[in-house]
Amino acid sequence: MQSIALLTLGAVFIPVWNVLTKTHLSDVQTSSIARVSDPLPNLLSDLYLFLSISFLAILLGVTCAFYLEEWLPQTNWIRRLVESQVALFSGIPSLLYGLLVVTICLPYTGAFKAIEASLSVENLDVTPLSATAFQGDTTLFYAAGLTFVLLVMPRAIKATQEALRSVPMPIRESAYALGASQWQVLMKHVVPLAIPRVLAGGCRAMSCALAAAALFIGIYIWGHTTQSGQMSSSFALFLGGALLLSILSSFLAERYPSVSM
Amino acid sequence: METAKEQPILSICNLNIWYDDKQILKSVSFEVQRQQVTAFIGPTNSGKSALVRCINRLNDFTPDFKFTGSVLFNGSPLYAMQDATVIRKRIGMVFRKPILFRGSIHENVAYGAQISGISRVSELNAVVEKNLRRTGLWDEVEDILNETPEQLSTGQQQLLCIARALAVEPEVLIFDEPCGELDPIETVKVETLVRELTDTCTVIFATNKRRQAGRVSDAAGFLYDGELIEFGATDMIFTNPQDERTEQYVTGRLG
Repeated sequence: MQSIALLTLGAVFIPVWNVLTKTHLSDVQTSSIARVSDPLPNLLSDLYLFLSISFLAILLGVTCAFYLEEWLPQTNWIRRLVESQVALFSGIPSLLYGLLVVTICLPYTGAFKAIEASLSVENLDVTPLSATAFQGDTTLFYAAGLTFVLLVMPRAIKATQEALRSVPMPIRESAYALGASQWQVLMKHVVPLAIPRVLAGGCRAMSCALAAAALFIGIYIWGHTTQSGQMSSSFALFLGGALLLSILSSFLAERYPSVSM
Repeated sequence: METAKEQPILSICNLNIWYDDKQILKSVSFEVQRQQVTAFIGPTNSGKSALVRCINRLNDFTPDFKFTGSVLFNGSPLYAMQDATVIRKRIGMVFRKPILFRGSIHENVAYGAQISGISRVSELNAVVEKNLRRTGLWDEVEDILNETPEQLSTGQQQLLCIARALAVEPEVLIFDEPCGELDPIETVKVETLVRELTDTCTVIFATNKRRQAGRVSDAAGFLYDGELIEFGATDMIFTNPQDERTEQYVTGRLG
């Protein structure tokens, strides 16, 4: 397990290291972000991207955690593999994910665009918005989306697993002892008790992602006075969102403390 | 019909239980007769809980649980049945601590009936009233049925848990040290109730209070360090034990 974790770590950080040593961050950023000139679509695209992707990532993460925790035994190899990867990815500081966009996710977006073309998604409602937002170029959209998933999902999985583990065993046992099935116990007892902490974890993950994005935009504004007007709306949105979500997350954690038995 | 009545409801033969690599029960064999209270006494860690949890298959949730031997319920092997929830509806269990579910007193008791498929409100109300009356709790909670059970005393909470378990209408009800957290007066209430339950169910009662076992049970077994040292009629175990260790335990010199 540890060797797999190390390999993944290497796969993630070698390209990051290359970028850090060979290019200037501002070069990479101007090439992709500076195309945006009008503040409104800029803001819209950020919102659209953030909401859709984090919703998907959290939904996927929570479902995954439920499956791992409630259905797979502790010794199952899939569970151990996913848990080691989750531990690894949730340990990476969210800041580094910004570099991930340019090093790993951007090169792979060609594949996404190929899929998109073969499915001719242009006919759906979804693509026009993203396309107008990114002015016809969806590369950045997919790259940022992929990064968001990588950032948010492990944190969502981890938070959900911890929330599920915090549901006291005696409550489960006494429901089982009455003859309740696993599904009934899950729906009636586990989910209602775990959901506030799942939400808190989800908010924390999203706040992490937003804060990292805000930081990058902040750095960008600082270095490029000419475009600061357009970028600062996004900066405010991201930073404000991050603050709001972290407050919401600590409120949830305080309002619904873990059930003690 | 006559023979079915005579047949023991549970017969356990050469049961060995391991948690991980630690052997918890060593070759335990006994039979439980219908509509009697069968008590198991023994010090802490003697394997009482593991034994009673084996009877309603709660051990299924313990990782690294292994067992050998046979457990027959009404003559058919308990562990051969695929769906353990069917077993647990017929063999209920009440724990040491009263475990309350979310929701009101009414919802707590109705939960047991809902599990067994009753959903009509009038029927649920009837079940709730019947079982709360049976546990003697009805007069105390009649006016606060829709309020949270957390305001009740520990003893009342435990009676509520018993009412909830009875709402499933089990054939066997297991009590795992039900009075561990209760004061003497509440303990008497639970003990009286346990005696009354035998008109409809069979009771299995694990306790580490010797005198309590003497008061409530018809048959008793003494477990010590995973072995069933002695099993027989309660009178015999307490007045004329065959094994030296049983005598030492019931007289208070051991454990």
